[in-house]
Amino acid sequence: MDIRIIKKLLEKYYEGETSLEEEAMLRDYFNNEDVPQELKKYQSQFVFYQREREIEYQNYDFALPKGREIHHTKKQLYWIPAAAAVILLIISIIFFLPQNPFSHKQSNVITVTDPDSTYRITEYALYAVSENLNKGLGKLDKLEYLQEGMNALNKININLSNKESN
Amino acid sequence: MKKQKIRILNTIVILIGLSLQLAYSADIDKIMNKYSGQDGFTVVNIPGSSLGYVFNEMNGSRERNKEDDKKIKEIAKDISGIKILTYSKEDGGKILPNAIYNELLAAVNTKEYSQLMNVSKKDEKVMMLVKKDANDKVSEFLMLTYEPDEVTLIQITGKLNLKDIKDLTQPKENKK
Amino acid sequence: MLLIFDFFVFNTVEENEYISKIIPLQDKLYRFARRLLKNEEDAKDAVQEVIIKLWEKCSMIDSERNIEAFAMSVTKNYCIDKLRTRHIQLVPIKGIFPTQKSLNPDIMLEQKEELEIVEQIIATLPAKQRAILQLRDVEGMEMSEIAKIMKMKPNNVKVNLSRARKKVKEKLEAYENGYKNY
Repeated sequence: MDIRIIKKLLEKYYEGETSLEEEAMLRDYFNNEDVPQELKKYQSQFVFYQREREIEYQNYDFALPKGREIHHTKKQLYWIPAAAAVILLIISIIFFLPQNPFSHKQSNVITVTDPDSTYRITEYALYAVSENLNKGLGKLDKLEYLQEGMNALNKININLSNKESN
Repeated sequence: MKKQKIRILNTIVILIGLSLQLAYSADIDKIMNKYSGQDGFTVVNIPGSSLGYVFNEMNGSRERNKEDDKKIKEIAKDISGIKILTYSKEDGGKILPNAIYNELLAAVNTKEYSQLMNVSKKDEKVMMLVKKDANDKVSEFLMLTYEPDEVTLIQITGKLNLKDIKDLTQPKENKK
Repeated sequence: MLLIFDFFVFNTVEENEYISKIIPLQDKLYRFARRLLKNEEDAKDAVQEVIIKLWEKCSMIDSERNIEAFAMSVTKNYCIDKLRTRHIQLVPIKGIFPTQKSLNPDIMLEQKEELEIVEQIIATLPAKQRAILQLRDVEGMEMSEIAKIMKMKPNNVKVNLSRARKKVKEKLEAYENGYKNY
């Protein structure tokens, strides 16, 4: 390459005005061609830069550090099985609510087992139903039977309250 | 592992819950249980065992004449259970009976039952509901009544002959 | 199911993607860090740190954005920071003149020695100029790119580049003259 061109480029170079292509030309010249004495002082710089390009990192055992906190953890997915377990638990509780054998809810249902009360209460119930059936379905002397029904009911109530206080 | 165990346990629990749900009869039991502990309510349950003992094995009544007794016995032997719920302000109830009546009515008046009779007056209300089985026979009977002082819900389960029950209070002398 | 969350054994897809983008940049980053920190060990550490930093910022990077420029920028910031906390000049400046001089001025120094001199001269430059010199003369980056990385105006970059190059030339001449004068 013409030495004059090189000299011109060098001028531009030190002013910071050379393009990348022009710099490539300089580099090529100083690295590969026979450099005349007057330009020798520039050679080392360009050789240096060229050598520097070839330096490698030489660590290809690439591993992202796992021990450190990295924002990309997939931990957010852990909530799925937890949520599923909670939902299942809620559903099972709901199913258990109405007749829960383990519930401590007070059930004050009086279960009648003695024959006397059984008879009386059955009698009362049947009479009450009967009378009401007849009210709607037939004519009868309401007062008389209502009265009887009420008496029966009172008697049973007394019996029941006796039992409760016992 | 811990999470897996919880999930297996939950699955078992659900299956048990479901099977229990299916085994129990519907709402009446629930209703009776629900109100049994509340103020003013009295709930009485006559199980089939008691009925069987009284009406199939024992003999005789205490106060009725023999004929009526026979009738009752006849009807009662096919009954498998009676439940009675009564509500009264005198027993400690703080809510108006009318409100209780309406509440119970809403609870029992469901698709499972068909209305037999309905009386609705100011001081008296009667609602009768029946559940029929496959042979069109009555398998369950409900009667809900309202009076100013008292509300009553009677449930009778079993094979019921309503005509016979009606005849219980029919005067013997039809011509008066 | 546990294995999916066991990222201590396997890389996730994301991680592998990131790694494939970063590996080609390593060399450049290393050279840059080496220029700035003037020390190979420190430069290696710096690259490690920068790679981690980039991974953490990964989600914030626009995929359109030039990852190389960004990586160099992070490296520059890291190194400048590191330099500030340093108290020792790691490259001992014995002066730019060799201690032993041959009496014969015509004997050319071995090129290797000369290259070392150039390196030492550059090491005496301020960090900013070192960086720009590296990015242009070694890495061959465009002025606009250098401006982005250095966060300087392009014209300012040109001025600094010119200064740096001139200084290297002058010091090199002074060295040789000194040698000659000896």
